[in-house]
Amino acid sequence: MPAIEVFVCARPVALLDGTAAVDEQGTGVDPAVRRWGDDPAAAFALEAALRLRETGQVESVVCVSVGPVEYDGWLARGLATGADRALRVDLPGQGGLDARATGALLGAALGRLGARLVLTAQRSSDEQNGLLAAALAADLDAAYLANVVELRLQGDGLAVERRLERGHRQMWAADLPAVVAFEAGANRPRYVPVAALAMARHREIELLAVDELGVKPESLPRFTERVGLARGRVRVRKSAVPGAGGSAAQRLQAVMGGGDTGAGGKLLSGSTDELADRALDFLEERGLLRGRSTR
Amino acid sequence: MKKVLVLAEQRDGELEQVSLELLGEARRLLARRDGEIAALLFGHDIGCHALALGRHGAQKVFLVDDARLEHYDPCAWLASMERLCLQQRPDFVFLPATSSGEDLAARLAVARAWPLVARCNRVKFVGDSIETTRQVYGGKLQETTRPLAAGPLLVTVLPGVCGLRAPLDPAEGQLGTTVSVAAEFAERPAVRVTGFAAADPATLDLAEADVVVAAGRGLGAADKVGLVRELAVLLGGVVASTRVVVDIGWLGRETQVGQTGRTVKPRLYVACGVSGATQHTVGMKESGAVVAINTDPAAPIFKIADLALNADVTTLLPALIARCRQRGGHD
Repeated sequence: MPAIEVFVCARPVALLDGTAAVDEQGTGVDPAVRRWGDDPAAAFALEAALRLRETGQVESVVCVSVGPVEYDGWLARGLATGADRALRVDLPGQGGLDARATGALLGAALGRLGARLVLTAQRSSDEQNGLLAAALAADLDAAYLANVVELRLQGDGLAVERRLERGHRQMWAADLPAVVAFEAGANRPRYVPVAALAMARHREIELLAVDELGVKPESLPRFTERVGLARGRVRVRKSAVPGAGGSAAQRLQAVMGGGDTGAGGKLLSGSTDELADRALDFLEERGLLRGRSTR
Repeated sequence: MKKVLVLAEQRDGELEQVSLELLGEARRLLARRDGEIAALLFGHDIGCHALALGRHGAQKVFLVDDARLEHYDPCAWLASMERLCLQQRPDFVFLPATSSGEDLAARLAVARAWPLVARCNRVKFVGDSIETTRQVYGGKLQETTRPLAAGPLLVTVLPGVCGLRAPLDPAEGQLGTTVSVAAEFAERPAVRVTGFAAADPATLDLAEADVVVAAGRGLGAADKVGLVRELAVLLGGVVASTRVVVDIGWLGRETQVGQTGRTVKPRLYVACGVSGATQHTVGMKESGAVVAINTDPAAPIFKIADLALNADVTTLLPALIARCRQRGGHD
């Protein structure tokens, strides 16, 4: 197998302070309450890439991002974690590209670099679109493999295990080039010592000017338009009411543990057969006896 | 006339409830408009689901019935769905935000340059235009968007967000015209489906389990844990435990639920001989339905139980297991 470089694409995510606030136009986050932080979802893709290198399946790991200089924090973390190189497509002041525009720019950059294997998070922790990897794959004319928890390279292709609902797994295979989107929790990302993080701040992050890509961000099509951003409505799903008795600590514990939620569970007593029948009826009524029956 | 196409899903021969939730959402959207709702279902031997889809609002049910489509096949699903969308020209396509629904939505959006709103809470008409809302930034903010691009608006919705609406009255005559659609398979697909592994309750991670059966000290002895295991297998679930059960060595640390263990959110949580100490309930209080069995009528677990059974767990479990077998649980 020829030496493969694996590219891990991610960006920092917007972390909002406790009181999320919107800007004056009502369509963006107030910069005063936003700071950039590492996307926990990206850590799983990076860990998978590092493991591929450690098992000799790829030669090197490159972290890539598209955005302003504030994005270097994530790239430095990638270097501290063990990536060989870090590269940013420099896009000053345009941290708000949508997933498809980001995919187009990343695709152009990775196409120039001859990328054959690209790993991403399944979805970012802030926007949760889950569209970047698919857009990137289309731009690179590569196979797209989603919801992946395990990846193996086989000859000139790859095999993946993907996570389905309720613990089921599905296996897919594809030829390279490929874009693989990793599920959160796919592996256990390694610990990064603070000293390594501090040292990585001084390592070089390669820059690629967007003009060199032949793609103009302002000319990329937009598919949806954000017309409003507002604080989420708080709806009470359950209210926990501690009993009047007991110490303050006991009552606080009762609230933390759910307290009396008034779930409606009337205490049933009776013979074993009666109770067993009642339990079975309950499971059947709720469609719980055989999966999610809806027929 | 506005048209909505809903991607329905089935697994193991059972229609996923989210399919019906999406049909209900389509009915709500078109309640005051002239519109048509259609459903599309992939799978093998799936004709039996047309009635349920029709009763929940699908005027047309497109069935792509093929033995090779028992499980999700991204290339075949994409080709068939793309062709159907081009033929039927829906204004909206609702897809469940599941592993297959989200994957298909992303592929379709990219392939056809159609607008996609992922994990949407609500779709509504504002005059003649459409607005969608969804949560972003970990639920701290609610984003409202409008589609700009032409083509159907693809919308994915998480299961449980819309809620299940009551089926239509059969008197309304909405039984759904069934249309068979041939599956399309590429000669050399970009992604090949090579296998499927059903969840093994013995190795399934607690956090992924749909059903959790928890063992508490009320079982009385280590050999009674076998009953909990048996019930878990019959319900297709996983065994969990309280800290006390772990401390006395009946079950491993990896099964512990609670403050110093795992946090779970299954659809069904069966607490067998679990008293319901706060340290345990913080790890399971978000469960969908809670069935509790305990001899102590004052056990705190009964306060959060949907079904509270005051009985000796060691005598009730064998009876429950026997009935589960008779009524055909997972075995």
